Amino acid sequence: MPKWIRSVFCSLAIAVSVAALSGMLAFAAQAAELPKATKDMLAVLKLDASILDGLDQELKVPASWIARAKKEQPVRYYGNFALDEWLIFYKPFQARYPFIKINHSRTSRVGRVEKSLIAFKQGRVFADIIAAIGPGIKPFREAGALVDLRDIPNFTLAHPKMRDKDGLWVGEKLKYWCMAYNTTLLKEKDLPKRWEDILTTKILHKGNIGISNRPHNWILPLWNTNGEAWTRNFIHGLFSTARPQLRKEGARALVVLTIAGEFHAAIPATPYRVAGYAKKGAPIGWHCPEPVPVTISTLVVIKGGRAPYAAKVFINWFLSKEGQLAQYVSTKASPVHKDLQDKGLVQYGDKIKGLKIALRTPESLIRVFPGVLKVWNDGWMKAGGPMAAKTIIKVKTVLTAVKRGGRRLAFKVKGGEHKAKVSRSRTEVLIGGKPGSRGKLKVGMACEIAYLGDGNEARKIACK
Amino acid sequence: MTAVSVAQGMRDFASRRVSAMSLWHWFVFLVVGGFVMTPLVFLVLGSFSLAELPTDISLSNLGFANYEEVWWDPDTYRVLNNTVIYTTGATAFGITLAAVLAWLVERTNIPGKIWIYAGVPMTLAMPGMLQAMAWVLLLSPRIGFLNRWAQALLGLESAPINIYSLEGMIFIEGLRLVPTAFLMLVPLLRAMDPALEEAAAMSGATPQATMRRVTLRLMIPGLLAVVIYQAMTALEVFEVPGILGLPSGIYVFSTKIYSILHSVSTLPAYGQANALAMIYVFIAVGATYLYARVISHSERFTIITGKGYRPRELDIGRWRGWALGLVGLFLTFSIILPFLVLLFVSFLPYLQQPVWAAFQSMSFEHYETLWRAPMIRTVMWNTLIMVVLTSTLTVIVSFFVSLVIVRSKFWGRRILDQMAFMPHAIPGIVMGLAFLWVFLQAGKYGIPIHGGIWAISLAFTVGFMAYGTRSMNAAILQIHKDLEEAAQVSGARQWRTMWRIFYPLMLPTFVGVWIWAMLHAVRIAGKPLILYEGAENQVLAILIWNMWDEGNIEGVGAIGALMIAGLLIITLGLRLMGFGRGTAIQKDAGNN
Repeated sequence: MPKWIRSVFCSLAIAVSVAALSGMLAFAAQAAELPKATKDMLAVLKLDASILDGLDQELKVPASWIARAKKEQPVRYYGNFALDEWLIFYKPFQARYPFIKINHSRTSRVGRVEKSLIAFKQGRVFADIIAAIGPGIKPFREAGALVDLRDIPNFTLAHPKMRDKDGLWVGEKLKYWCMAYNTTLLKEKDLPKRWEDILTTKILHKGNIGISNRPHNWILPLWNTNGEAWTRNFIHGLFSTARPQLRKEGARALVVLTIAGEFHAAIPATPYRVAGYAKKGAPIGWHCPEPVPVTISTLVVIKGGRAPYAAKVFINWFLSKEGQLAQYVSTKASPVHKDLQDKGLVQYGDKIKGLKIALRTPESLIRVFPGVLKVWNDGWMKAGGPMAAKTIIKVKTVLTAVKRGGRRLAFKVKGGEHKAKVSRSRTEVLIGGKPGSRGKLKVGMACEIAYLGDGNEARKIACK
Repeated sequence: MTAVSVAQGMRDFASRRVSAMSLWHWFVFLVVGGFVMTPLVFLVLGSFSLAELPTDISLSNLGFANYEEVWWDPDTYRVLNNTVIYTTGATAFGITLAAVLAWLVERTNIPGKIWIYAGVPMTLAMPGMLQAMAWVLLLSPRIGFLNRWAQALLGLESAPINIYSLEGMIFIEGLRLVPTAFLMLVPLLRAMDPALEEAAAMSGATPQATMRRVTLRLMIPGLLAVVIYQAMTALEVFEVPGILGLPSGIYVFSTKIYSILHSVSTLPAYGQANALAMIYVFIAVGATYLYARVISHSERFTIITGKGYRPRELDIGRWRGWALGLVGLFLTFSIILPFLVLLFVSFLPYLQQPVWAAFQSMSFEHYETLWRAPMIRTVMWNTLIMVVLTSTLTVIVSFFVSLVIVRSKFWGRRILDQMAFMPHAIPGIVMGLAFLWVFLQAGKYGIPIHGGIWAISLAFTVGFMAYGTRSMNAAILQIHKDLEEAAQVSGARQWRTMWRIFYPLMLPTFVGVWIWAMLHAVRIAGKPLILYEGAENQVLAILIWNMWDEGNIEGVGAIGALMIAGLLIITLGLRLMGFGRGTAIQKDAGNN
């Protein structure tokens, strides 16, 4: 071997060794710099520290931001972390930025959106950061209430579909809105493969599904993907054939009620809410018919807040790998960071692997949602949802009791006894096809009764 | 007459007039008028506003569209029907039960009276919201513990009882009305001279006839006042129909207004909520008038003779056990069972039936979370400030209002009395809405009251004035004017008379009203739900409401169990210290 080759080889060997050694040292140095809370988090997730490569770069913000943030009051963050979740999420941030205090409040959507909008219009700001603003993005945008977030270094780390082109919002997490089911009441084979299968899966009918009045979470993405005609038919079939329980509670409450057995399944439900209870041993599972409705939960910063720089530092951290992992470890919500998309950080990931995605963007909330809401509200109300007119039910039955001269009737409906009131003026009574009076109704008569449900007034009684 | 004497005469006349129209009477009148009438005026004005948000109201944007929207809707009349049934049913059930309990302790030889006297009012410590939540856990048709047991035991296909119904709402609200009605009825029965009943019996009247013709007739004015007061309370309450009616779509007016303001997918329709709330303004005016008439005619019925007064006890013989059972059942349903249920779920990792596995999975997890969560500390601090402010303001304002009503010849004292009563007839949610409009407008003029603790405290104080002034009126009436005059003759200044004469004599009433206001302010969610803006003025009732709404039932259990235990200890402690004895409401009812 020529001498020069040997010397080049030796030099290369030394260089590689030095590079490897310095790489190892650098790695060791980075790992050592991680706060204990972050290390604990990685341990819980069983992830290697290398997943946080490039974190230092991500956490870099202008020095002036930090200087100003140190002088600002606590950031008021109106989000949706549960009490215990926030304690876990906040730890790594607190360790890294002990001089910035974040006061998190979990409030209803009305508290987060309407009240803060009213306050802003009055020149008051009581929330610096608001999460999950949903359809409220439109009035906020119109009121000029939102800070442009494009100068936050990590803004671009979110997928382009997960941030606003004008910089007024950025995604904080991905939500997959499907169904939670009680594992003792439903078997996997009973679960619908596609959404329309719900209409033909009888075990899910007649009050065995609980549905909350939140069409923007799942119906809107389905409308976006499957189109208006499909969605109209689905909504109609859902309310008329599946006849779910229409609930006023939110998504998390529906999961709790499913565990308790109030219904077999709840729609919509996110995997991260279900996973938390499943981990505690609750009889709950998560399943997704195709396509998978996905929404982006948004973060916005309100103009005129008392801690604008601290808020930006916080959001920058939130969007970093560390912030996104902290969110995942505390709530099990899927991250929006582009480098964390294929790391298996999705609860029940196997349930949605390979399925088609139905995405809801904040833009579709503004443009498409009003039309969706109209169709949904119509179905919801006709099905007896809050403030709905009751639907007239027709049954063929035999009268089992006639009381107070025909004013009160009892009859069997599917094994149970129903009662109906008979009005002299409003109830049409036909006996043998001819107009009759309620006084002529007798026990044992075979009748077709149109009424507003058990205990309500009959509209028409036709007896043989 | 010389010019000098004419001038002197005019000066005397003027000074007499100023004295008669004492400035502070006017001050009290205007303050109360301002705080009661201004929100109502804005409520009316807001009902015509077509702006999207209350902040955008303007005279150029008024119309009847809100009225058309809500009053042409057939659902509104279904809601009206529900409201009538619910209010009537709850009042009838609550007062009947309270009357039976009061009669048992006052007129029979039921054993353990001292425990009943102490136990029934103690149920005031159980917030209606938590009571309703606990009963959902017990009697929900699919997951209610009692329903599940009944189904398993009796082999039933469906749940025998559905708490999510009008009947369920009537039952819970009826239970909630009992302690106050009991406190109002006991003095009525105690003050009635049994000699009248004995005379009837001596004249050959049967016990039923005596009850009908003597006892009931003597009680009518007082009873009517209690009925009106309690009906207004039932009408006013939001929490029970909110917890039991909303999930099943059974609406009363207060919950319909709430649902209009808490639409999930659209902005709230404030104008429509106001238009719907107008019915309460009419009811409030009518009820206030009726109540004032009943009270003004009550002096016709002299029920205390002052001579030979001795309560007579009826021997109920073998019914004593049953009577005691009834009391026990009431206490079990009102406080023991709800408390135990909340305590049970507070230890669970997730909601489960009370089976062995559930007991095995118990832990202090939720208590630990409450202890560590910074938000809880903020909420507790807010609640403490709000409660102390509200209770103290209620006592001070009510005292001065009552002083004008009872002790002065001020021309507007009857109007003042009625203004003080009127807010009681308006649901918290509606008064909250009315105040929201006022506070938002105040914000436009640089008065930053909205979104703070003061906003909630002021709204509560105005609402509690009805109770405060009823109690203070009665207490002041019992302090004879001779005492003040004697002090004045002895040369004592007015403030000294107040301090040395009024204050010691009124102290039990002050404390009674303070406790009552505290117990109510800490548990009512209606007004704060509308007036809270965020962490700055979030109070315990809101936190519990939101936690329940989002399904954190175990967390509600933990916070609810602690809250009930705390309120019970406070109530018991104050009673042991003697403050609760013979307090305001008893005297009030006794005088009515």
